[in-house]
Amino acid sequence: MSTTVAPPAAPAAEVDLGEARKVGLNTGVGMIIVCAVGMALTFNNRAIIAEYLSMGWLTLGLLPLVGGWLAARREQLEGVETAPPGPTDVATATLAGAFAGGLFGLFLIILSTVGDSLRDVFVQLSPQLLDMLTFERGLGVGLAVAILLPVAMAALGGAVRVAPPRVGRAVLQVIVWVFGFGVLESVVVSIFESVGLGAFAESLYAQRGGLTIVGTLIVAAAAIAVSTLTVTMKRRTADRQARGDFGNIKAQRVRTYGLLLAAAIVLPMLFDRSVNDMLINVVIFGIMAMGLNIVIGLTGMLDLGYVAFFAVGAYTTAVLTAPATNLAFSPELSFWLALPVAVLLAVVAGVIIGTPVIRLRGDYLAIVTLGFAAIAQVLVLSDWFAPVLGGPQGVRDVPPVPLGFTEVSATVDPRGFLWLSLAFLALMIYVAWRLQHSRLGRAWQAIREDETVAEAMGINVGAMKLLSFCVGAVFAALAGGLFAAKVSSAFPTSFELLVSVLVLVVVIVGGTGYVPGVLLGSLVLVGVLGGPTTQGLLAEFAQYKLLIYGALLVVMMLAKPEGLLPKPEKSREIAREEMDQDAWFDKNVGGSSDVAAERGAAGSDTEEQA
Amino acid sequence: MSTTAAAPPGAKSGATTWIDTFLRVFRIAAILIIAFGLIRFTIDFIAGDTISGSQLLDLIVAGLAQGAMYGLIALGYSMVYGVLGFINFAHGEVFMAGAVTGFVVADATFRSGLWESAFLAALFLVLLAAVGTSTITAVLLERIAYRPLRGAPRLIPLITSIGASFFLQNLVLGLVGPASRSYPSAPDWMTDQRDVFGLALSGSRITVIVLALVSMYVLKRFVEGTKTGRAMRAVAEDKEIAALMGIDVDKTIRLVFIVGGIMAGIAAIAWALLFRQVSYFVGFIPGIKAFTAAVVGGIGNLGGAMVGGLFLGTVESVGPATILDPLGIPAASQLRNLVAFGVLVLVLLFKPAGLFGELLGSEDRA
Repeated sequence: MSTTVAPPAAPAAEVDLGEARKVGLNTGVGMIIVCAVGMALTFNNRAIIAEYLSMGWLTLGLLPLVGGWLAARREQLEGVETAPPGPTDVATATLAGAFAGGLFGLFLIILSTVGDSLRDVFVQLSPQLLDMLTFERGLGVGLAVAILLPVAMAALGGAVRVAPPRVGRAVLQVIVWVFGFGVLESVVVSIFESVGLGAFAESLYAQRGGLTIVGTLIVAAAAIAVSTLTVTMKRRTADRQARGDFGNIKAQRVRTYGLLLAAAIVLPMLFDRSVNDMLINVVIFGIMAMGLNIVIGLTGMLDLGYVAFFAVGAYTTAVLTAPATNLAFSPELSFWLALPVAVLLAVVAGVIIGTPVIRLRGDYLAIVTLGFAAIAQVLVLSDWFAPVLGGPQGVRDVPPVPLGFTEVSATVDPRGFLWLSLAFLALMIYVAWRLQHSRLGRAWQAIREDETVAEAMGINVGAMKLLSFCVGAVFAALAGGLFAAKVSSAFPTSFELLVSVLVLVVVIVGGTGYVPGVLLGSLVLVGVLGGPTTQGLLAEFAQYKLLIYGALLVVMMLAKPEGLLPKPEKSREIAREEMDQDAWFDKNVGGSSDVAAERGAAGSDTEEQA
Repeated sequence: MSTTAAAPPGAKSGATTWIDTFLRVFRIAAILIIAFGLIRFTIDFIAGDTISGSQLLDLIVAGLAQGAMYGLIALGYSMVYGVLGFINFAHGEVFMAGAVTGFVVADATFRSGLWESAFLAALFLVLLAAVGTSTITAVLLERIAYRPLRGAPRLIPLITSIGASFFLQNLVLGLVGPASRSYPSAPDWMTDQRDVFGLALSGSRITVIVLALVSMYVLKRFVEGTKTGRAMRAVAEDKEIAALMGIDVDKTIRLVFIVGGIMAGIAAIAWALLFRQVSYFVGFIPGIKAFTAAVVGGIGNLGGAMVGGLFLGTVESVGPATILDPLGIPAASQLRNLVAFGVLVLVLLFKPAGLFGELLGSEDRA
């Protein structure tokens, strides 16, 4: 990148060999990793389209698809005209696919020749993997597939990129829908059954799992229809708003909230037990993630010891409510008395942990909070605290949550517990929303942007940061209390450091500082892939979720640090800034493209020297 | 919100004095607790009620050996922080990659008989493999995960490195499986207790300490004496000016990661000699402790990293018996990690710049 000098005029479109090689080899390595960690083989057992496509092959195919899509991307330099996307970009993507295919073919040759001796070290290079990759028909077939599949998928990815956005979106929707329907078979069937359309749902799926061909076509058609419909509706709304007609905003808002409320009440009735159980985890982690969102997203403090507050909430609730015989202290309070105590203790813990670290530099703060969480875990496990917290055995028999005349227990009736958790979630969303838009929230955001300036504006930085820390702790403690009541126990293993990291991933993938994004992140990550100790809908992911989470964190930071659903105001701000810059540039310098090119050339010169 | 009460009424005007008060109380309490433990221990020690003198010496030597290993890993943290200004959280996994590869090679030499017949040759091969893997891992990390983020706010590469850490850990888990494996045992002449200056020291501990000190000396000569080393210090000082002076910044930063990787690879062998057990998880806790060591010595300060490592190793080894046990805490030996992380918290509270001061790039000094 540093060596290419951006030409001033529209460049002749040509195949970008370097880009193709880079993306292609990366894709190939990705495919090899998917195979070598055993992901492909594990996923192969789940059929997406019966007898034609398994999740294993889908994963292998999606990588070059994304790779091709990336390779077809043209560097858009500001002020420099680039050639319109065209067939050459598809050629670049195809070439990238060829590189990936070549590498993957090489892997297949190695696997089939010396795979047996490699297995001592790389435990997943099993004969079954070879069978899967060659379809049990010999190396020739395997090699053909290994090379042609990436080429074809990368070409498709490139074509999607080059095609008009409408088509691209439709293709994306089809992939997501088919994948979703194929993977979430039990959920889909149970929903359709509870509204009396069980027979229809059954007809979509084959006997032994996976969509039938007809089912696939129906789902794809539905996806295209919905995609087209949303595009049209969005355009219509945009047109209307461009005319200055925003409609009755208040009525729209009431409608949205009414719909959400109805969904929260009705949907749990439609789902079966396992889905409701999974949704409880989503809600609990959503509450936690909203709290961390305040600490990281609003205030800009990277708190890696967040799990400590979750543990405080869970353990306090458990110790205060459970009739435990192995503990020195068990008052057997009601859940509703224990929860405020848990929250209060979390605030105390927040002050104790927060005060020493509040003045530290951002990255030191991260590590010290991590240290505190590690200390907390050592203490919980130690004999020293065993009389109070039960040591490795933890606290068992946490009673159900009493609610008026009945009791809500997640083991007996996940539905009731889900409603309870949703009520808490609604409350906490309201709290988070009010906080974010209060004077306090603005002070936090000011601190995130620039501490010195915030201080100069009269914000008490220390106190505000500590407050944010404690508010985060309150969210985590509430989530912890619910968690203890849900699993009716508190074990040290539920509070490992990786919980902090997982919530961090949820916040970052969802979009820092934006509540709907965080909740969506929680739904997708915790719901589908699974939480730290809980399983998601896809049990296959259980052993690979941390690998995926780690990769997600890196990819998000490199590609889209603002998250998948960035805060609308923020992207608007950024867009406005760029527009202002362009305006300034045009006014003061004029003839933007030449100057930009010169600027680019000068920039790359210095880099070359370096 | 109940939390609003956390900010006292007077806090709004001027400096946040109550935070200072809290910190003062915190510091005094920490000093009192440590002093009480130590005094109590001294009394018990003189009265002969606690561990014996030779046991104490044994703990110290064990701590020094482990601390030397922390010091080697800490060098990687310290150098990266000094040059790029962020915590390379994944450095522990660089160490782990070396340790696991080392095991694979050691196992192969054990099966071929080389481990038994020519132990030093086998150990050299293992060292080569561990250092190679650690170095390659470190360089790839820099190229893929960190280089695109150069100049981004400090927290962004830190979050990236946390992700990279989990990715590497679970990649190794996926590749070689979750089982913890054991290096073949070293020959007796290696592990035997030896009499050095009246102290009974096991051979592997001596080897580790010597290995670490020699590596440290070579590194110090390299950074201070060679042109490349000077380039590294220049880049740490100011990347732009260094570039203007004709230094290839990208190459120099890659070199920093290479050196960090080599040191982590040597540390991996030290781990193998001391503990023998390796799994995908061995990088995490030693990584955090090594970072603590780097902070204790003053981050960016190479000599400090080594001293910090030795200090942390010793305190962690001796602390439970001399501070926690006299306080009446049961089963204090479970609390080694508590001591280590306690050191981290206390150092940052008392002296965030570390014992020997930080040496950071210009943008960090502001």
